[in-house]
Amino acid sequence: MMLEAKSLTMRFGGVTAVDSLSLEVPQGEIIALIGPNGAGKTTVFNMITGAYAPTSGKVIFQGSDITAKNPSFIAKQGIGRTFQNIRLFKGLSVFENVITAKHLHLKSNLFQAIFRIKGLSSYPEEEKRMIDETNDLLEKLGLIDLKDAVSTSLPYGKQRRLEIARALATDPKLLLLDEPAAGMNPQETIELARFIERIRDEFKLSVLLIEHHMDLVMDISKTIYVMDFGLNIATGTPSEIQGNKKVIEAYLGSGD
Amino acid sequence: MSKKTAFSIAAIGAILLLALVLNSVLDSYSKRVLNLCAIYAIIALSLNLVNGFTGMFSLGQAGFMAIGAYAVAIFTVPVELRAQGFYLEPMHPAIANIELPLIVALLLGGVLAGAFAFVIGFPVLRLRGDYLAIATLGFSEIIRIIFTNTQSITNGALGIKNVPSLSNMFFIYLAAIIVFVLMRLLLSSSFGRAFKAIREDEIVAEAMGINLFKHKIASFVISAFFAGIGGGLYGALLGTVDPKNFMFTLTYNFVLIIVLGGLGSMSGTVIASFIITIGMEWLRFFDDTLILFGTEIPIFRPGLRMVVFSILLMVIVLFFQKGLMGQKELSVDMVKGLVSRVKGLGKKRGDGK
Repeated sequence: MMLEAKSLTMRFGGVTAVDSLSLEVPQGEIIALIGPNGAGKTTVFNMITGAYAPTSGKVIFQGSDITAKNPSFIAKQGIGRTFQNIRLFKGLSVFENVITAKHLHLKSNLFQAIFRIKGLSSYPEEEKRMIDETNDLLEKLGLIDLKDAVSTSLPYGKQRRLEIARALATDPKLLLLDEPAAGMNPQETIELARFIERIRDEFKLSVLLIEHHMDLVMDISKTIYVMDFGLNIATGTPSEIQGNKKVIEAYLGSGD
Repeated sequence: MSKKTAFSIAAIGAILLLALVLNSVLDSYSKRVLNLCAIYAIIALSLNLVNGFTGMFSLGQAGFMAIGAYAVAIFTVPVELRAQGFYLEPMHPAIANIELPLIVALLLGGVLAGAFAFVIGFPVLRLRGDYLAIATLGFSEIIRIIFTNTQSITNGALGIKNVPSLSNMFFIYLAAIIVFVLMRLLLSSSFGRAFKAIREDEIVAEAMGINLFKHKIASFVISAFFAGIGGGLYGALLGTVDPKNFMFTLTYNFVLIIVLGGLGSMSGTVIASFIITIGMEWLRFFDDTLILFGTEIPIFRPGLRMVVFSILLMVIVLFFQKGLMGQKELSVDMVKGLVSRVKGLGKKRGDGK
């Protein structure tokens, strides 16, 4: 199992944002987390990535407990993420945005980086490797022509893609995508579905995604977890979820 | 060797040669002002590393400078001259007979300032924004007050006189260039990119695997180290070091410089250091009484110079928020672009005739 969340609970004062949620992401699968706004989906992401320390519960990644560890440590273990509202490094170029995410695997220390004399310091080789890998990644994701552009000058769709590229640069084993299709039209959403499947195969990823576009979710996910008011109200395959009465009620309200 | 590296080396050589020539040509006043420019550049660069590149609002530079200046003052005054200054209480026997060469004392000052930054970094760097600014400002004042009260080490409020005065332009400019090059190497490395990532968005930087605390403290310690070196040179240039030199208002000079030059631009910082330092000297006439047509203009009095500078800072903040350079660096291409734009402007005017 790639990721296991065991009865995660998050309380903010008197509000229970997530109430003992358990989920599993198997190796190489795309798993979706859906639910109406405010259901607590992003809070789950924040607990998995260490941004929040859960009130109770455990996060197990590849067999080891990573609950409430430092987010940078968790990223190093191999969990990459994107954000609901695009958060790029604004002043930096496309290339810089991606290569910055390569920093976590740098082995050279600060002195080797400053006094980078070829042969004496391991830094020049590492820098060259980082540059090559970044170019390679931008090539694969079709962003190479934009590499020197300022990140925020990109069109919206490309910014989303850049955010994914940046997450991939950390060499993740598990990728958390927070509403990757937000603001996309149906055509772009279909393309995104193929794109997510492609990167999953190419980078040997497992994917956990939050999404509101049901077409996308039903199209690519193996298992769907549905949340409402912090509770996991249903779990199942896309066809099971589509027919689930509770889910329909959560989205559309009950008849009475 | 790339063309860029060759060009940089040529530029460094030219500056050092110029410093060497000016050192023997200029009068001592001009030399002092130009030396101050270079020293201010070192300290402003150190402040910009933290404020402009790592995005932490720190105001502790005067304190770190004081540590460097005192290290130089304590250890470079010739042993036989020390008793003259320390007449209230003799110098502590442990250090009374230690005399170090200037370079060693400078490095010692830098290391001590860095060590102090490391220690205070643990509590202070947990703060952000204005809170961090206040905390660093507080520690900078604490350093000054400690130095005022350690009579047998720093000679308290009397200060340390007879510091062998430094006026060698070549030496000071060499130091400034070394600091600039080291800083450039740091900022163009992966660590520099990590600092900028923290400046842009801490939460994302952390999610991308950048350990916030480690990188913040690295930036803070390196900044203090260079500020210590700059402070040491400043002490040696003044020839006298006393606690009043390191009031927190000193830090504002450097804040003004980095805001004018551009937060996050090294070349902007250097340019602004020269503008501000020379400006401070040149605007001294504001502090003198001015008599126009037989009447004395009442506002021309000591202190007006600082008012002018405050207004300047407000104008920059209101209208030129990015400063001279923004986050860009001066490069050959940029100068070329500027020249061609000026030429283009001339042409347009010519067409209009």
